[in-house]
Amino acid sequence: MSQQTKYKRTAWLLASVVIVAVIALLFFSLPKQASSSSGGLPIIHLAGGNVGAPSPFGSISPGSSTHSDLIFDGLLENDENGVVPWLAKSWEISPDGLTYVFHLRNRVRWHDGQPFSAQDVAFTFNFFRTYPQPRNELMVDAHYIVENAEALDDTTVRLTVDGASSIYLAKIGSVNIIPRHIWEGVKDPLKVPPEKASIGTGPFRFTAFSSQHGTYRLDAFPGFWGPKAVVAAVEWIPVGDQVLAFESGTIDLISVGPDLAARYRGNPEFKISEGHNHSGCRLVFNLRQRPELKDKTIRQAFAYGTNREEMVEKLARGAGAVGSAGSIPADHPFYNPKAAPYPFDLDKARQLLAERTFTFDILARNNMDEIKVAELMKITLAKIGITLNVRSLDGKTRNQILHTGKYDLALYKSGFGGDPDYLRTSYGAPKTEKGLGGNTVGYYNDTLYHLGRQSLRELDTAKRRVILNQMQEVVAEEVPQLILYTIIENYVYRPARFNGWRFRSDRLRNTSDMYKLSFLEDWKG
Amino acid sequence: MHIAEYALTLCLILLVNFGLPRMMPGDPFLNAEDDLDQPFAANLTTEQVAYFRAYYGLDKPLSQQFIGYFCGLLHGDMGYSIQFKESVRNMIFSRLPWTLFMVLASLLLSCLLGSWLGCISALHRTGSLDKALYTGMVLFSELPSFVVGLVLLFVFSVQLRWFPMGGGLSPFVPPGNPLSWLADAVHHAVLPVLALTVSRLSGFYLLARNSMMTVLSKDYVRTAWAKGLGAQRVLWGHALRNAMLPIITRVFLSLGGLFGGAVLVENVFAYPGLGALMGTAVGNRDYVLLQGVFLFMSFLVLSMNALADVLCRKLDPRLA
Repeated sequence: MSQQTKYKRTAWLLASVVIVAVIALLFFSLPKQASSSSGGLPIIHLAGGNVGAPSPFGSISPGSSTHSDLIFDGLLENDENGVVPWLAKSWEISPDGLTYVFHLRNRVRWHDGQPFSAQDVAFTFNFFRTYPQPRNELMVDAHYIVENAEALDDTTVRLTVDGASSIYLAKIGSVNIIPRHIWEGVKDPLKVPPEKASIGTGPFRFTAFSSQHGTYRLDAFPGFWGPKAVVAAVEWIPVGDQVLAFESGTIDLISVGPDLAARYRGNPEFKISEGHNHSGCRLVFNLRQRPELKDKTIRQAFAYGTNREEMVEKLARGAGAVGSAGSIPADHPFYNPKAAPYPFDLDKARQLLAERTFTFDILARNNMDEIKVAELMKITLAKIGITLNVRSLDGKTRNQILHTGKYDLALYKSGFGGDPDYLRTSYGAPKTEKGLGGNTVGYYNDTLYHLGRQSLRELDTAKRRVILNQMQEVVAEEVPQLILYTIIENYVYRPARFNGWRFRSDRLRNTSDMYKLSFLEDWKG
Repeated sequence: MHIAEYALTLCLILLVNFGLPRMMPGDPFLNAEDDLDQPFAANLTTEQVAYFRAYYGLDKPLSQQFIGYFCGLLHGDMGYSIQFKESVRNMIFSRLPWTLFMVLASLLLSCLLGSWLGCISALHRTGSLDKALYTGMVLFSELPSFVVGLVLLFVFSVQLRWFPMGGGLSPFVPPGNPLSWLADAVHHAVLPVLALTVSRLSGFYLLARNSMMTVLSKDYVRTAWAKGLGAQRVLWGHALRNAMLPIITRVFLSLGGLFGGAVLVENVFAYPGLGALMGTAVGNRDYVLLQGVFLFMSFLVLSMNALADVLCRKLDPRLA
């Protein structure tokens, strides 16, 4: 062996030793993995991702308030069945429905130790009037509903609203109350740092947030006024694939579609939440662009000529339902079973069209679900003389077209849970020019408009139910929009790890979602 | 001359970066009911949209917006992201090290490994080793990086549990010693780097193989063989230096593109890089963030081109 070869060999050997040593050194320097419990209580791990700072103005998306909802409290809390007392232990509404007096709890403290008072509540409602939040609970028909908010004493606050309404209590109750001592004098709420902006009275306090890594940690607040937390902390951590992360035990909860749910069903290690049919896909007609759609028989022909059972079977994979004719889903407390459905019936559709033929453009978002819906509709409607041209565009381009009203038909997904005031905003609005808020461009129905106004202003629930029932029957007859199908989305978790999950469904979110009461002891108010 | 060219290109880029996002159809404030991942609710009133538009300075005429943007840049101010409500400069510079580390490490690995395999293939160009390598690499080149990433994630994170499920660092670990931080960062980067390396490998392999085959047929290589030099000496000492030119150029040119290519891998591993940020900025029409990210990437591509120019001249005096 030559001298040079010997040197080479030694060099290779040395390099290998150094590489192995570096790897070993790094391996032994690895930090300890995050623990899954603290003080006997579990630490819950959820899939992270940056949705903005957990503060009233920091949230990036209106649909992702889970973090700030744990930090902040509203006057009332919504559980699965309706409102329950929260920061307000009781309330009175004047007979004319214009004044709300809330009696607040004593001995409530902010996370920074300052005492909470009625001044904070009054301040919150006045502040949000000047500085609108990205998510707008207090806007109804483009008006801020709270005209005046004043503290009568330390634990009593009086709000005056712009009109009597059955939906205002829940809206007012859901607003997260912010501390006056932090926000008073703030002129640019978007620039308040999360350490200050995330001080609330809620059961969890802000501990860590990294927008870059999409991580959040909220720890149980020992000074919380209400029910005890049953978890030590909630952590949102970055995971690439949620299903893989759940399988490996990295996260504790995932939302699954029907195919995946089958994997966990029947396995005692997992539990699947009972989902609601409260989100779905709808077809929107543009009556201004295509005046022939003002003839309701054509819209009814769409309803008869669209095979919605096929959509449930092929797209929702059986875990869903044909959209209800009156828009309110069958498992919603305000559902009216008398709203006549439209079974798939091509003969009936042809009869309604009476040999007329039409060609429409249908606008879909460029996701597979909506494109498939459009294509399925195209196939069956072609048989009754309606030709569809599918236009699929990215979300923002689609929105601009919805806004300018330059479309014939559009598909989009929305929620049908929560308060059914959406019957009014979608079908009972005065003639509208844009289709972003779920309404039908160019559609006006006098009966629905007046019933909608009545339902908004009726304070008696039984009377309101009668009005909403009537509205559903008119909607079923009129078909101002066609609710195609709704889907059930389930959550899967390991009960041995944490069994307290509670889910509720609301209008804003497209799915039912886990919420604050999941992490607290049972609470009857 | 070259400096003037680069300056002109930079000016054009500034204009395009400013204009292009605004020319795209769509508007950051126009949302529909199903836009739950968007910064603003669908039910904003016209006045509220006007308030937010004015807040981000989008109500001013375009010329004024451009002047503001340009003056801001001169002060190092890249604006405030509409979606994330954070300073764009901070967002870019906090994510840059992660992407840079991932991209450079994978580029280095794929370049070294790909070139080495390419050279071996070229040396055995008629043999079965070349055929096997060539077929394998062509098959590899068809694998999208996110598929490779998912397979790696499934095998090494779920099954073997050797690596974390995602992210750049272990969350909520109190700052310890720098070595432990480094170990954690490397531990999180292994799979993303591997996925990106695998997806880039065949490109370098094919280029090196092709380039090496051309060089190996040259007269001076035949002379080297005739002199009785060993295969190692001929290959690494004589041929490689000449075959390296296109490889070096490719390394630098692919640097700009790698940020785009890193998007999918960043998504699979929830890696805190720039690529994923750019994706969401486009989806949300976050003009301010788009301007910032595009500008930064253009600047990077330009400087890489300049660097490739200089290096190629050094390597091949004929180009000077």
